[in-house]
Amino acid sequence: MNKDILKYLNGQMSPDEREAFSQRLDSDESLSDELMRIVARESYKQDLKKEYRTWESENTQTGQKIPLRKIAQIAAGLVLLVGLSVVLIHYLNKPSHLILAEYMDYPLPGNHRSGTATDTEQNPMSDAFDAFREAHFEKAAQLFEGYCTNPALTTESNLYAGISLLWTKKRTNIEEAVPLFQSILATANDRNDAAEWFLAIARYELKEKEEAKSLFQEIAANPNHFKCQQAKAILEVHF
Amino acid sequence: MGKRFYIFDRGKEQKLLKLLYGNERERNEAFSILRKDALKYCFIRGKKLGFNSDETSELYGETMLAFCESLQKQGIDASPTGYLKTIIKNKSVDKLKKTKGLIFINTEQIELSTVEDEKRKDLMELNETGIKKVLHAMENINPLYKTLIHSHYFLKMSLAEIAMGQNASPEVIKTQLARAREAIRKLIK
Repeated sequence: MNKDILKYLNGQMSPDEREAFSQRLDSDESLSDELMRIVARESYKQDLKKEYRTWESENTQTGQKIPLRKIAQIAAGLVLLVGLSVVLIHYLNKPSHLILAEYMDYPLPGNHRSGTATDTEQNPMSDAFDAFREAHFEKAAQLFEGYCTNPALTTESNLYAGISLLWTKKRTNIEEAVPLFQSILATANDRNDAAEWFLAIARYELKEKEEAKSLFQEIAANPNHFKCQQAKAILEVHF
Repeated sequence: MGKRFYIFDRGKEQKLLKLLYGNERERNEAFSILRKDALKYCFIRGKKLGFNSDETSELYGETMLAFCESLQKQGIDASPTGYLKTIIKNKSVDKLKKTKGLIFINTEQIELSTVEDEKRKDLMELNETGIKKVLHAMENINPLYKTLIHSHYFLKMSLAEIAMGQNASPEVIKTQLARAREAIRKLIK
C-alpha cells in the first residue's frame, strides 16, 4: 500500500502536507486509482463484517439453530436405519435351508418323519405328531411345548419341540431349540443321545462351529451313540 | 455433518471452480455458496480460538478479501472450499498473534510478540480514523456509486463487464465512475 495514502487517510499529515497531497491526487490518476482501491477494499471488508454480524445474530440468538437440512438428513438416516432393521429381521427369520438337513432323520413314535403313522392314536401327543408329519412345524412345536408341563412327557415333548423348531429353518426358532435340548441333557435319560445330536446340529446351523465340532467329536468318539457314523461323516465333510 | 465424502465433494468443487471463473452471474452464484461455508467455518474457528464476535467478523472479512484477491490472480486452481478453509486457518492464526499478543514460530512454539510487529502494523493498515473516513464516505454516496467502486476497484471488473451487467454502455459507466470518485474524494477531504 502507498504509505502516503495511508497517512492521508489516517489523518497523520499536517495541513500543508494534506493540501499538497490533495493536489497530487488531482493530477496523478494512478495515485487517485490507488486511493480508490484502498477505499474500495476497506469498504468491502466492512460490508463483509456487517454481513457476518447479521448472520451471527440470526444463527445464535436462540442458541445454535439446527438447520432444516440437518434435521432432514437425520430423519432420512433414521428411516433408512429402521428400513434396514426391518429387512434384516425379515431376512434373519426367513426360512432358509438346513445345511445338515440330511442328518435330521429321527424316528417318530411308530415310524419315521416321512412314513405313515401306525400307533399315533395311542400316543398322548398325537395332535403334535400329526402336525409334525404334515410339516406344520411351527404348530407342532407349539403343541409339543404344551405337553412340557406333564412330567411324564417333558423330555419327549422338549425333544420333539426342539426338532420341530429346527425344521422351521428360522434362525430365531433354532435359537429357541437350543435350551430345550440342553434341558434334556441336564438329567440322565434315554433321550440324551438324541438331544446331544440335535444340539450339535442346532449349533452348526447357528454358525457356532466350535461348539458344534466338539459335540460332533464327542458323538463320534462314542461307538455306542446311534449317530456315531454320521458324526464322523459330518466331521470329515463339514469341518 | 462431520466429514463429507470426498467423492461427492469433488464434483461440487469442480462445479464451484467453473462458476468462479465464469461470467458475473456465475461468479455471484459461486460466491453465495462459498459465503455460507465461510460464515460457518469462521464461526466455528472463532469459537475454537476464543475470538469475540468482532474478531470473528474481522476474520470473515479478511478471509473473503483474501479469497477475492486470490481469485483475481487466478490463484485458485483446485478446491475452492479447501482454499477457503486454508485461508481461514491462516488468517485466524495471524489474528491470534495480533489480538492475544502472541507470535507463532511454528504450531508447537509460541512467543511474545515484538514491538516491530506493532510498528509494521501502523505502516501497513488503516487506523480507526482512516476506517471511519472511508466508511463515512462510502455510506454517504449514491449506493450505485458504491457498487461501481467495489466492482471496478476491488473486484477488478472492467468497464465493459460492469456495463454488460447493468445493461448500459461503457461510456456511461466511465462517467458514473468519475462522478463516484469525485464524490468520495470530496467526502474524504
